[in-house]
Amino acid sequence: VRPAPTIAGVGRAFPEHYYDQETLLTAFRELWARRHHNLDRLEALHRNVLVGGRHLALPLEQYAGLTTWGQANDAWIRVALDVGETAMREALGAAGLGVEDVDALIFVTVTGIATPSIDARLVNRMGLPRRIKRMPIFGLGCVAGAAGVARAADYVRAWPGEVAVLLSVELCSLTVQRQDLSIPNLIATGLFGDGAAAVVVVGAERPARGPRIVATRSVFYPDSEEVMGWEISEEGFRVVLSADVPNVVLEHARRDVDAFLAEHGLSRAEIEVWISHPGGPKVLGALEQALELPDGALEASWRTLREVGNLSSTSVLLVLKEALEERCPAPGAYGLMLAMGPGFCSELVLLRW
Amino acid sequence: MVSKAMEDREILETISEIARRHLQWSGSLEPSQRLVEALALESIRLLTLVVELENHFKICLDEQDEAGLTTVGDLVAAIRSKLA
Repeated sequence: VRPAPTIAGVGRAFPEHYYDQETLLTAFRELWARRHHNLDRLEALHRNVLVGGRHLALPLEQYAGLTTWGQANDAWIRVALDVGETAMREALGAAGLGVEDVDALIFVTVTGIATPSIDARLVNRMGLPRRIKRMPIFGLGCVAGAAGVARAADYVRAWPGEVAVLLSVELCSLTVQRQDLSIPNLIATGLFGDGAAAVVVVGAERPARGPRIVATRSVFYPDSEEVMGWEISEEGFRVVLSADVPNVVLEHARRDVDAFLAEHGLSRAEIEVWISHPGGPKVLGALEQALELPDGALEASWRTLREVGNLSSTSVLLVLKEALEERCPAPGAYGLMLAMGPGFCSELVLLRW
Repeated sequence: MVSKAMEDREILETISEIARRHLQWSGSLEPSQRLVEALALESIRLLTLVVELENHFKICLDEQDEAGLTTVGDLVAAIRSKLA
């Protein structure tokens, strides 16, 4: 058996501007009224996502001033650096490590672009080592939190004496197309929020406390490109969102999870800690149904959805942080981290405390 | 005064036009067709259709109206009753 990497620490950071859903609804109603007649229906749509409030990269009143993609992306870079640094420092602190210990940095996002990428800018800003190996990954979307942990584990399996950090920054509010009043965009504007999270993954040769990453599994679903993604235009990112996401969960989750667990001599009943990307209420409901989960198994995912919305790749890492710091499973307990994203695809990460 | 048959034809045409523009749909609609199958409606597409019809006709359809919708003709009738 190959020695397993350890999740040694998780950090998170949010922009300081927090708005409850009612405040956001009031702002959106004015915008919707330019084109839509039945505003109560749209308001109900926003309430149905069961989000209580969200952090936004900018004060609410500044969004109307973002008239080009370039302006929005400039704001994205500025705020991504702030929350990215805070999340990384918190994760390293939790792991008992310093910036000089970081050998590899994986940066994931789907909400903004930059070259040099955010990871490069953080090397300068934080004084990260010059030897650092950087892996900026754009486009995995919501799956990138779990997939990023899996890739960090792959890295330290190859270099068991090293430390890899995954940083996820998603500032979904800066992708909002104010002129796009389509239903998928209205759902997105009710559901997605802003934030960052970082995970420190250390190789088996380094002493560390935390759950071991026993195994990981990627699953790609052929010919499902239309389920979710971006359409890119001169105006930026326009959300593509079909109603098929819960159906994909219902169709695939159970088979994929069971097959993965069986390879390790496990069944669903032996998983004590479920660490799922929250998606939305329908996705979480579908997951509970498909995996026949006991009541409360996904409570941490429901809670993060209520408190800060769906933060794409960052969300599952918030659930992971809660598992590490508040649930404190007994030694030997198994956990399963799982997420889905554009492709369409899923990523499974088997943990053991 | 516009006859009921004439009004129904115009409503049906409007539904077709909105489906073409907002649902990337092509084909012809008949009142007897089942609504969900004819327009390949899942929840987001159904909501898009309803919202665009509400915008066009300046009406508000409620849950009670939508619960009884099985055929394309049912949708036409629901819109007509709101316009009355």
